[in-house]
Amino acid sequence: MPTHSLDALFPRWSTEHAVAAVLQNDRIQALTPAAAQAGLLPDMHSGTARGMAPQALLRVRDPAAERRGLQQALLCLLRYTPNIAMLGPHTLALEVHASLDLFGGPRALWRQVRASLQGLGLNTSLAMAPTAQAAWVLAFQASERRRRVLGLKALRRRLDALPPEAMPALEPWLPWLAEIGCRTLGHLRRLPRKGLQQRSHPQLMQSLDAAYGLAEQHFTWLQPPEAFSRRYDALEKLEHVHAVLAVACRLAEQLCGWLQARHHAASRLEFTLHHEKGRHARPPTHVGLALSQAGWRPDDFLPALRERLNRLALDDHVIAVELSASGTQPRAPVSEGLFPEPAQWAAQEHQLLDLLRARLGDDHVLQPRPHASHLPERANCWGPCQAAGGAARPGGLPPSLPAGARPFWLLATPVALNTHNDRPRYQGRPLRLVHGPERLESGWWEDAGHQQRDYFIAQDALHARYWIYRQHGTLDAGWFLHGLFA
Amino acid sequence: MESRKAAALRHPEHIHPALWRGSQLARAGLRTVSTGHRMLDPALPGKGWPLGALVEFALDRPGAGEISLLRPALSALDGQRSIVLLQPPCQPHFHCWANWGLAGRRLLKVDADSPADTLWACEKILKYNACAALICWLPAARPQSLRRLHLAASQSDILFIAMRPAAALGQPSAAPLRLSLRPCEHGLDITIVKRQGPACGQPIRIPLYPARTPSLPFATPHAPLDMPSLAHAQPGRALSALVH
Repeated sequence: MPTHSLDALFPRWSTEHAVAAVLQNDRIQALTPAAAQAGLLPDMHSGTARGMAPQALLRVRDPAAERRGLQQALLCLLRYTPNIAMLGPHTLALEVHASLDLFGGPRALWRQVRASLQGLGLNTSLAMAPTAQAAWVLAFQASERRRRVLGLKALRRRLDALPPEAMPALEPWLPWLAEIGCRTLGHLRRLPRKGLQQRSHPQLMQSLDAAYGLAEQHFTWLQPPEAFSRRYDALEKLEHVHAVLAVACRLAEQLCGWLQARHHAASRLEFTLHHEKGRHARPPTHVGLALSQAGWRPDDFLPALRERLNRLALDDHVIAVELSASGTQPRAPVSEGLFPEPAQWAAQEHQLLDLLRARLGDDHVLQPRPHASHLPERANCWGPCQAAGGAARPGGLPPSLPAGARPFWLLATPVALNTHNDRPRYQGRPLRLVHGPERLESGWWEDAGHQQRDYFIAQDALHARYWIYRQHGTLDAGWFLHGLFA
Repeated sequence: MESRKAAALRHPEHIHPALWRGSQLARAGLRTVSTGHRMLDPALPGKGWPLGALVEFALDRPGAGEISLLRPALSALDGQRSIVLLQPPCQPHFHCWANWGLAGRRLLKVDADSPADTLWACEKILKYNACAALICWLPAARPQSLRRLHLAASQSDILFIAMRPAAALGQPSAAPLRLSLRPCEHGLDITIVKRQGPACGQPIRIPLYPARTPSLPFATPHAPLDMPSLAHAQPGRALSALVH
């Protein structure tokens, strides 16, 4: 990360062409190209810089923000490989040897890693080589094509042509190497090995060998944290759902990296949207995203997350978004059969239902929850849909009747029918009783009181079939329409 | 040469499976599920409801027997996948569903607040291809939306039925099969408005409710009920051998 300190303090300096610089010990440590055009130079005193370019944004270096950025990158990159090591304070090395096939080859992996890092807002210089040291050397090359080498032979050719300054490990010996006329790494390698070892530090030879793939290098891999909880403090107030969504997606990607590294899966994401503090303080908004099946890939979360947040109405602007995943569990092995298996249908259905629930709401995706009652409107309960399998509770299953005994459509509230010559009429057409009566009665101890209904199947002149009933035992025994046969 | 040409023209399906003559029903390239009705199957291309295609039912109001018509096909579909009712006009009655012997099938009811949400949900259900059947009520969908839904359906193997108002028959539609449903005395009259084949002049009558219901178990002696006469005493029925 060549511009790590800038990225940490000015996240969008490259797109906005900001005149900005980072100060360390009151001197400029890093600056943007726009700032260089304005006349600022590295190592310039802050007072001089303010005089040269009054419009320049100068900020003191923030190691904590840099660490956060690095942590973000680490979590995001854990998706690609579990083996990530730090070479320098601003350099991460990924061992991707085992991931190449999974992500579709070196070029595809390169593109995906680059896209992930760009999504985080980090300006990175990506290099790929058979050895980590060589990749570090190549990362300083300007053109992207020169930063990618796959074969060891081509790598040696390319390294031979580079000056010793390109290799960060050689920094202490640069003046000495210049004095002895060693202008490229190739010259350095051709020097007598023994003499070189005696006149310098063994570390020089070690890093040179490691870069050329002649010696193994050992790394301490970075470990992901135990629990995932990340907070993103926005630099400006997020007023639109889309901005919140972008942040939430970024956090979800990091969560996926973390889950991947720990081999876990999460079924519930908790987003906390923090609002303004201080005088206009408001309690934070909690947005929960529950999945019926634990997921660990971005595709498991992002579609439902998008719909869930699009439905969100923001009362106030958001200054920070926090994501925590509770209830992560070890991941179940996936079936990798070519043909769809029952479990795969279920998995797909879970994803679909999560998506529908996220956009339409929990109370809009329903499944039958039959309830033991004699009154049809009470027996016919619908509840939020849960995991597949339980079609109906065995206790609530209604008694089996012939197919034509009950209508398919049940009106939520029975419609009172007017009568003509003691015959019920619906929509102006008299109804002819075809079948019935069937007495349905409820107990007097129930909330609705003692209901005695005589149900009939009726037909009108257009032959549509209706399920109507007559209240029994009341003085004004009216007719009601309760269902339609479909 | 000439005779081969004539034979090819007589059977254009040998040239390409998607071809058929105006006087034939299209057959090939269709995945279908039998409707379960003897009268209807031969009138439909592929002898059943097409899977992965938009099928349009036009009816005046709910309660014409539209779900009863689909019942045999629904029970023939893959039992592990759900059946979705999207934006139904009334509450589906689970007791009826159980009486039909479909209690083991998972029935889902999805409601949407706006027509746009309905179309969105429809498209997602088709795209995920996780359900066995989708029955969707689209009272005011435009032909462009229907075309898109048909395209989405063609990527899946879902039995996709769109219920439209009868007035929508005047609109063009991308659906390869359009039926108009009207209730009749003991069942349903089906007019095939559009199919891949010749025009269908006669409405097809599907008996859904037997003329005389055999004695129902819920007919208890306490309720006054015109009990049906015994089967062998019905007019027009030959006397059984026992009588002789």
